[in-house]
Amino acid sequence: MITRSLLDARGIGISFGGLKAVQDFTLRIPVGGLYGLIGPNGAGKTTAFNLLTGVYQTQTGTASLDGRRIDGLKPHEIAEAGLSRTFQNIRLFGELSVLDNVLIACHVRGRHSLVQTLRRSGHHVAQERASIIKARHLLSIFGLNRYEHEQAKALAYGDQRRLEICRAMATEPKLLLLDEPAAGMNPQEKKDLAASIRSIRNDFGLTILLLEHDMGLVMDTCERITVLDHGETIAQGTPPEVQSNPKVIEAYLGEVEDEPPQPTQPPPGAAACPS
Amino acid sequence: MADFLQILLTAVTLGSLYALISLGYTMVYGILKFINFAHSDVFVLGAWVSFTVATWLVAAINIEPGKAPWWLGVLVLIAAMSTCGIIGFLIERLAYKPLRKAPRLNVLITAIGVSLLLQNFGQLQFGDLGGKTSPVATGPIEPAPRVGQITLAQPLRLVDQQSYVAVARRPDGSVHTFKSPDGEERREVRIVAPSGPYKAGETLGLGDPFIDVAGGETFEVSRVLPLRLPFGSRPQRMPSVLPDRAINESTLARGTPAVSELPGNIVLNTPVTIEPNRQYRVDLIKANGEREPLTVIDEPGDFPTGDLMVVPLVEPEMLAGATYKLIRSPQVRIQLVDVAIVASAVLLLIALDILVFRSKLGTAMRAVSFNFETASLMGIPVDRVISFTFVTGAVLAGGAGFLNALKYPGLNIPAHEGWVLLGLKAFVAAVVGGIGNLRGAVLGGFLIAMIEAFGSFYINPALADVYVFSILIIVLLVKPTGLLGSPVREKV
Amino acid sequence: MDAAAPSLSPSRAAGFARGVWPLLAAAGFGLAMQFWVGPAAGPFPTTVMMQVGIAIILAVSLNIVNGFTGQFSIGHAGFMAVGGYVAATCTFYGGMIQWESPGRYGGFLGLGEWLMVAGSLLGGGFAAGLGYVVGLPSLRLRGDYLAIVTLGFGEIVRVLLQRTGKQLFVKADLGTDDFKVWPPPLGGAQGFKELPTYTNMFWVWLFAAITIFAAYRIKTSSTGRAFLSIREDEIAARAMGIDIAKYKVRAFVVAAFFAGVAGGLYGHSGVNMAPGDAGFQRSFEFVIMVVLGGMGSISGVTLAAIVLGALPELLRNPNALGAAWPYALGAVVLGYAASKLLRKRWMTTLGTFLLVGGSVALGLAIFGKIGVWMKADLSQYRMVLYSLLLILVMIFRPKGLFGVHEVWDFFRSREATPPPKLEAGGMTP
Repeated sequence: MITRSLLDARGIGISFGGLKAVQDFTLRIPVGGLYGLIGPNGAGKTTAFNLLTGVYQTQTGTASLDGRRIDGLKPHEIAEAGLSRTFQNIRLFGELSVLDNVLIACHVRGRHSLVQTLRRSGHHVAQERASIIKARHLLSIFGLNRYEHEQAKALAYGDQRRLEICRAMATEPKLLLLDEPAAGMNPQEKKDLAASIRSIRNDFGLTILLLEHDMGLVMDTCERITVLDHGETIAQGTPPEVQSNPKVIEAYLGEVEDEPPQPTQPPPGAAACPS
Repeated sequence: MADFLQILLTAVTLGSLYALISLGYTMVYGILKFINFAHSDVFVLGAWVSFTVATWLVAAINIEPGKAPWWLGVLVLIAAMSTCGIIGFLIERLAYKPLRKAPRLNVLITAIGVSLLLQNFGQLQFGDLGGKTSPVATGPIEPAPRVGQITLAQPLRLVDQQSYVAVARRPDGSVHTFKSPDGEERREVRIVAPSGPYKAGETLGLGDPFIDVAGGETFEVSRVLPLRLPFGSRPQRMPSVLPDRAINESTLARGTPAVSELPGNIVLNTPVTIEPNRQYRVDLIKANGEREPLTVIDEPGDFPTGDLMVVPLVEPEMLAGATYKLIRSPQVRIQLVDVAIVASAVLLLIALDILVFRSKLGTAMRAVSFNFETASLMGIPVDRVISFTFVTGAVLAGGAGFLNALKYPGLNIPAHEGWVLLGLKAFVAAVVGGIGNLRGAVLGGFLIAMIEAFGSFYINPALADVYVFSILIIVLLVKPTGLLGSPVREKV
Repeated sequence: MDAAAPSLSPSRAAGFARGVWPLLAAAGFGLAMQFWVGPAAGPFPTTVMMQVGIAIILAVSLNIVNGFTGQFSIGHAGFMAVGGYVAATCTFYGGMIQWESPGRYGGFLGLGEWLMVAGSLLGGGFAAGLGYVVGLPSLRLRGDYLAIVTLGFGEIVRVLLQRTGKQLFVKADLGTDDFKVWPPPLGGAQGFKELPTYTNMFWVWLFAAITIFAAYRIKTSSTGRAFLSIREDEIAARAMGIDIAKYKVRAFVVAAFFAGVAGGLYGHSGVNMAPGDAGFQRSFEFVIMVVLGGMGSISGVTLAAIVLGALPELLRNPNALGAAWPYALGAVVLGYAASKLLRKRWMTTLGTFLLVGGSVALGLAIFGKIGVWMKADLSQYRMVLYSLLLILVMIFRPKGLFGVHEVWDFFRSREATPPPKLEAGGMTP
């Protein structure tokens, strides 16, 4: 690929006990790209995400972000390096206010020593003000500024999902990983979500990796797609290429496309695949 | 070597206790994933119930200390175990069940609350709640000026470690009220007299020499049935329900001593050898069946038949109709109480193992410990299983409380310090072994006991607790899941 | 230091003022307590108020670990004891060397008191160092495991203090060859006795106010939000770039520092420092204050420390307690009426507070009446009462009385934020 790749993961993998959850996972995302990572349930998508974000330590392979090695770093160091994420099962700071949720994410770009905090140094006050301005701005983009003082857990489900994206963006990432942002949404909301994902990419110049098992959303928004199954990459390419890839159809779309079922047992993910 | 074995023995005894207690921690943790802080208090409760019931029973059946029949211990054990089981059930139902879905921290705090409640409730002073037996002796009061004594109208035996009171009954049958010089009014006076048999006509001392009586009263002496609820914090002593005897001592000689001996000697009827650095004693079984252990202080060497052996406390009059046994104390003293503790612990552990791994209920318990929501979908009555787990743990702790009271009868420290600490060390054992793992708890129990016992002997006895908690911190840092625990991966 | 700050930064003078005014305010408060409240209240209430102030320092600092950061420490008394023993060593032996006698030296704000303050700060430093060490396990352990480690820490401190050597009362002993530095002569199991009583209302309330200020500034800063995020969700916090290891240790260090200072004040308030002060029983008292007041709420914890700190003394005097019933009943009635009849949010909130406070007071008054009637010693029921309260609060109000909120949060009338409305098509949660 000619464009400089922002994320360059080569052959990363991990196994839990004897189970190879992800193996030889390779992914290059160019700057400004909108990438999709799909695969049936249990294919290892979230595990791959957790490997990239440092929740699990990679056992094989290397990963680098913008030329900087990130494998082996701690999650907060990876976030500082410019990789931020949302969570499949929403992980907001539920008891805290919506504004505080975003301010916490601003922390990585502006920290103070304890002494500065205690004596409220000029630097500290200025930073705090800047953070609040930034947080309010982000909230207004997502239409959440009305709820600034509400507890995060009191928000409606869709607002919580948006708040997660908003919070992730407050860390000023270069690459944003969205873990199933459309889970539990109805078609209309999915459409709105797709629009806002595209606008984030365009307005902020962000690179986005979208992890989804809803095919529609991925096919609509993403420029390139990687398909995982049983921890292995089985296909990579543009949406039409992937859609026509027989391996993908076998692993993922088999039942949807009304293909005759394989005589042997279908892959476990296929049964749970959303129609 | 003897030291080493003796300490090993201590460690095994202590380890059995730790194992019994730590099982309760580990079972509850396995199922509900929280530390039942109140468990060590349930253990202390077991000890105190044993103490209370044993004291009461010993007084009620009027036996000499150390001569309790074997079934007394069993009764006390059952009382301790069942009380703790009931309390365990109530704790779970009232305090933990409402929090089944609450964050773990809340349950932990509640557990601390329950623990504090038990401890502090236990330290309340309620005074003596015990009653008295019907009069065991009567007698007229001595006329003034010796009002501090009564003369027995019939023989009476005052048993050691039991207390007796007397009331003064006037000729018309009413009970006299004493007024002490400082204005306090009492209806009864304590008997102050050495224990032992008294013949009719002998006198007994009274606790207050200045009692005011009009004359003509009769005293009725009753035994006090003690009942102090529940823990109290006064120094107490668990009455011994097992003979204080080593099971592996050897009898070197036995026979009937000649009556006309010099004081402080015994004539041997078998040749014996006194070895250096060993302890010897003579047990004198007197005509009335009492056993009197007497220390031998003779020089080491060979003693032919008919030789005199120095036993300083022998008096010629003690020898009438008595028999003697010359006993060599073992280098490694295996006491009856140690055997009882280890045997009971092993029995309870086997029973628990069968219960958990071989019974249907045990299968249900294990299922609940994996995931109680799924288990309830499978038709397992989760609440009942959890209650049962609590009760089982509490029953084991009650048993351990009884055994501990047997081994260390002095209850002269406030309940919350030494005893709760012992329970906490058992918790450390559970964590070190891998909390949630039954066999790990047993392993951890013995390991902690070894560290404590050997550390105390070879390094510094005062720092035993420091070793235990240091081991805990080290194990948690090196292998947070404990020795036999399996790793838990957090789902993201 | 602030020279490079961006143009948004206000002047350096304003920055300096922001740093200094809380200290001045705290000193003013301390002086008011010393010269106005103390003399007005009389000697015995003054003693109680000093113990309450010390309890506030301990509870508010523990709140930083247990409330803000969500780590569960039950070894706080260990830090207190370490600080107390260090400070006591400074004043007792320092006084003995410098002024020939370990007794009190100098008057109000005299040299002796300053030595006590320096010793307390040194003790705080020692405790903070230990806080760093104890904080380290918290990186790997969570929840109940950490609780046990901190408990173990307190117990280790207790046992080590018990093993210290005999206290020396004569300066000549310090010079002779008999004097051994090891084990340090801190009184062993007997406790560290006859410490000079330097602690007074001024110092206690100065440090209590500073602790509250510091806790508040931490809570409303990026550091505090980092603490709170760890409590809410460690995994999410890490993903948002928060070095949870650093912040957990930082919380422990700060909390331990204040606990150490409180220990210094406690040691010089006319009590005997004893190894038992480090035990988990003492720690539980502060945990109870934090939990009842509301984990994370500075004002709630302060309130709980005041009530629970004064309660033992109230229980010792059931007559006075029982006599308070008409006032308590009045508060209940007034509070109920206000919470039901009034419109303004701050008024109804005040009413609710009156109602709750009055109910508690009424309960205590009834308890006092029962005590008078039964001629029972109520003070022995104190811990029974606490533990029952703890269980009930956990069951019925799991976040404590005020939760994470401050008292004034309840008065703030929110701007008319529309309730989160359903988006088109509705949401499937």
